[in-house]
Amino acid sequence: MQWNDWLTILCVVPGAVLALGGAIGVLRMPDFYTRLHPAGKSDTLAQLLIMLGLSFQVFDEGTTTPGLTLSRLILISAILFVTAPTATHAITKAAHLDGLKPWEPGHPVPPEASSSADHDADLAARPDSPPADSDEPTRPSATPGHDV
Amino acid sequence: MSWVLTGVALVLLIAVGLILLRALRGPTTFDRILAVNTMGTKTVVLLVVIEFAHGRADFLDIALLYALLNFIATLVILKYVEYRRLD
Repeated sequence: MQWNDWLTILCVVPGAVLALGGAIGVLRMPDFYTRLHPAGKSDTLAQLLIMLGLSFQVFDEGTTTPGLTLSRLILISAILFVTAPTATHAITKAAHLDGLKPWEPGHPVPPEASSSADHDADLAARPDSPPADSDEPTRPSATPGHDV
Repeated sequence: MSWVLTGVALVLLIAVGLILLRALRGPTTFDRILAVNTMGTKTVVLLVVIEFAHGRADFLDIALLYALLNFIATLVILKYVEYRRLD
């Protein structure tokens, strides 16, 4: 094993551990807003570490076009670094505008409606959906089934 | 070096499976959208790892395309869920 292989292992293994930890966090956290934390933050760091570790593999002797591979790696990492938190923020804002309440300690954990697959059933199964934002003009509150 | 990257790819596959479990369990629509978006990010990383583990030089382009498509798809699904139309 060469020197760059050790650098790759040093970066890639913590990245894989972070990715697995983020997945366990998304599965185990109690409600939606807490699930955003492992999904938004640990994934970004995990992809950054894995891409950094893989970029050391470019310095192998057998690589035919190292510059092209390295530039594509940097491009993919930069795109993920910008778009993954932006998408998480967009999901958070959509959920907040939809009236989803954060879970507070002391209250019961929101139930897992495993059988309801469509949006209306999810809205009906939500524990406390406030009708506060139903008079917002940009939202289609007259949509059938959308009023809770 | 290839066995390390194969192990990392297996760990990423396990992570994608756990997030798929969250996407199936719900309970709200936004949980499912978040799970699918996170799965997309992990899929891009998985494609890059497979490219370096097996020497498939074209997987980097697919990963680049998938990283761009995943973001747009998430925004489009969010807009459809919010407004029930896409215009």
